[in-house]
Amino acid sequence: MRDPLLLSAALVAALAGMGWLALAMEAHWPQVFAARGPTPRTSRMLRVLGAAAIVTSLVLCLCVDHATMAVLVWIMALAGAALAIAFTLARRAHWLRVLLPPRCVAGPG
Amino acid sequence: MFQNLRLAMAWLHTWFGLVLGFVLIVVFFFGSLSVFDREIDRWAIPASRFEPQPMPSFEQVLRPAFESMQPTRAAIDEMRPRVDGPMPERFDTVVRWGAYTTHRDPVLGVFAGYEVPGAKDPEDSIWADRTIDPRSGATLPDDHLKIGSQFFYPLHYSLTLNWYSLGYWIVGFAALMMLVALVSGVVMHRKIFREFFTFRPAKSRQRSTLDLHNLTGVVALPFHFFFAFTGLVIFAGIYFPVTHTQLHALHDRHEQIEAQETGLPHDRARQPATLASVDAMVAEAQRRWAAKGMAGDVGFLAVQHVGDANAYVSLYRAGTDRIALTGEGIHFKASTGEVLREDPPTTAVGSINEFLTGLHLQHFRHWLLRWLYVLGGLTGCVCIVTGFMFFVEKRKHQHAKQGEQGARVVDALAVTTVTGMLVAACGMLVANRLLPEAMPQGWPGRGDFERYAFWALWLFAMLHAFVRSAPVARGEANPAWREQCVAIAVLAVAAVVLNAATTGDHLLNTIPRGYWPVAGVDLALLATAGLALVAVRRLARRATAATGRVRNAEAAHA
Amino acid sequence: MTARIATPRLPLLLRIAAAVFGGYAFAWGMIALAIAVLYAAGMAFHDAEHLASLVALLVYVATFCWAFVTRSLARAWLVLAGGGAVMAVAASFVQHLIVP
Repeated sequence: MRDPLLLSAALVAALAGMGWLALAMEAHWPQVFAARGPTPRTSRMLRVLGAAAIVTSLVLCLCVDHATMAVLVWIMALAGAALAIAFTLARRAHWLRVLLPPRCVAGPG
Repeated sequence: MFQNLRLAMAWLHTWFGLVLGFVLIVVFFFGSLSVFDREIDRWAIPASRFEPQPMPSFEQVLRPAFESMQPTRAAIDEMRPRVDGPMPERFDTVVRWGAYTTHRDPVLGVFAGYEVPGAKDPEDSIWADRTIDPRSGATLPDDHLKIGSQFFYPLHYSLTLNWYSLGYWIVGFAALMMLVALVSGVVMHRKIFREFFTFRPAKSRQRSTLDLHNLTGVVALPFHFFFAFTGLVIFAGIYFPVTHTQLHALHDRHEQIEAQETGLPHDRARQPATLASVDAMVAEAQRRWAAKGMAGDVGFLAVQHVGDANAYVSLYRAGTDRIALTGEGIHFKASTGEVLREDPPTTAVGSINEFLTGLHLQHFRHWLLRWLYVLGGLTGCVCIVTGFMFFVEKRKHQHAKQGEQGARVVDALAVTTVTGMLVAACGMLVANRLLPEAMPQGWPGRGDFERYAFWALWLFAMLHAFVRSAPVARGEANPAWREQCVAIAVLAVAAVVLNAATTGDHLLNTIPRGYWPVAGVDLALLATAGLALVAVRRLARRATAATGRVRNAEAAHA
Repeated sequence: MTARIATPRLPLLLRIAAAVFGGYAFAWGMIALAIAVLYAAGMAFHDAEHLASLVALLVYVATFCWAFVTRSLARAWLVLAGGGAVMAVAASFVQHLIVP
């Protein structure tokens, strides 16, 4: 039971990571929040968060499988996550609001 | 010739991508299906629907099977031109017995190679194949086609065009062009990172098609690159047979030295000898693998120079816990059972090669990664299809004005290779369930009829695509897209229904039982049907909108 | 890319041929020479084979693109087919030194 849970967590981390990276971009933030942004500070923070989540995803994959296999699972999971985020942005952009607490969006800065 | 690098790359990408795209989409699609080839085999051969089995006992199951094998009449006829003098009726000198299984195989493939007296090339041998039930040793009918591993998979790497290995060369060139298309695509694409997540379905069709083309090409770029590349690496020996032609002398020298070093005899001693217990050898091999901390099922078992004093038994591990295709082979003297040799650990280059080939051939046990591979493969299909569609969208109005047929032909070929291919694949599964268990005496085998159904449906889909293509020449959509989507939905549902009716393994039975090979194929067929119907609805809505526009325009003129 | 680039047929065909066949010859020569030299230098035979084809396949992709980028058609042919032939001859020479 441990392995499927860890792999699911790796997929979720990849998805969140790609989501944060997308939110850090000027083109996509307005799609999600219907507002201008993100501020440079928020953008930087989102990028760091995104990178951290993607690294976390790799670590989780490495916990389950032999390193050679884990890297492949991770790379393919990232591709899948990027596709999922792109399609969500195209059709249901507001779903990505779950990735950021509302006060970070409204907050000054 | 071209003014700058970008134009040169654009030309390469457009034209080589278009021409070889028709091959590549076949390779990508059937490659995606091949990820689950064994599961498709289960669906296609109901007699093999039971749990995967380990390598059975050699003494009790394999040996009787091997000893009762002989080459088929077809194999003998095929061998005839490579022999001086008459062909023998029976073949008794066995060069090699082999049995191969994976963690997904309930039935076992076994093969035997025999010496052919008078063969023009003394190293040449004649082969016999058989599929057995490893629980009992019973033989499965040899005309029952394993649609996954014996048809979809060969389509993936050779298009089943075996004449002078032509199919391998076409697929190889297409893979090379895939790599060229990736390089040129990256050069052309100015905003790889800025548009990484960009897909704007609301924009013009040309724009949104290009968005989807870029998206599917870029996010799965590592997958596309590594699969095209490793595919070429796997068959590098076919594409560049350097060591069998120009460097033959070097190759021979290496083989002699290797035979000396390994102590595994290259030739027969021409003295008969008995065979010690192979099951005991298997136990010994498993003990040695376990001592090295590796999972110990036998994946491949071979006996070389059967019946001779020089005979030896090679056992390879089924490496399901690694990407790399390693076997950790252990070789035994057949007459005594003593260990002749354990393969040494692989070198650095060897490991890289095993990783690259293993990554593509996927013998590992990892269902998530398998599904991610399917996703990667289908993403590649979307990338190629959107490439076709962009080509057509970009040119069709201009071609319509100039009275050219280019866009029309490309569009019809795109219909053929996209929906037509699906029609053929689904139709083959329907044929599989409709054909009788045994064909009448003297008829071609059951598997042959399944193949005919596949190619006939595909040819029919192509004719249909061209016959219905006239609107494209006026800058409108080809109704064949929609009509073939309907055919896909009908055939996919029919396959599921026929499977339920002829075998009783319907989803309400297979899912509670957890029998995923058949449930998975059924669910995939239903998903295909569902997607096809969504496409039909969308295309119909678009067609009505288009006719509405034409009518309004005509009314305005009148 | 929108308008079809008006190029004369023959030079284009020769360039495609240079990319496909010249590139193939170049890759062949490179594989042959690399195997012969690496084997002579003591690398295991199959390792030499694998390493040579891994590298040469990537080089084939590069030379294929290059054949369309370089200005002179003659240079494309000279480098690809000529270079391939030179490497192949060198490979046979090295083989001759090892296996007289």
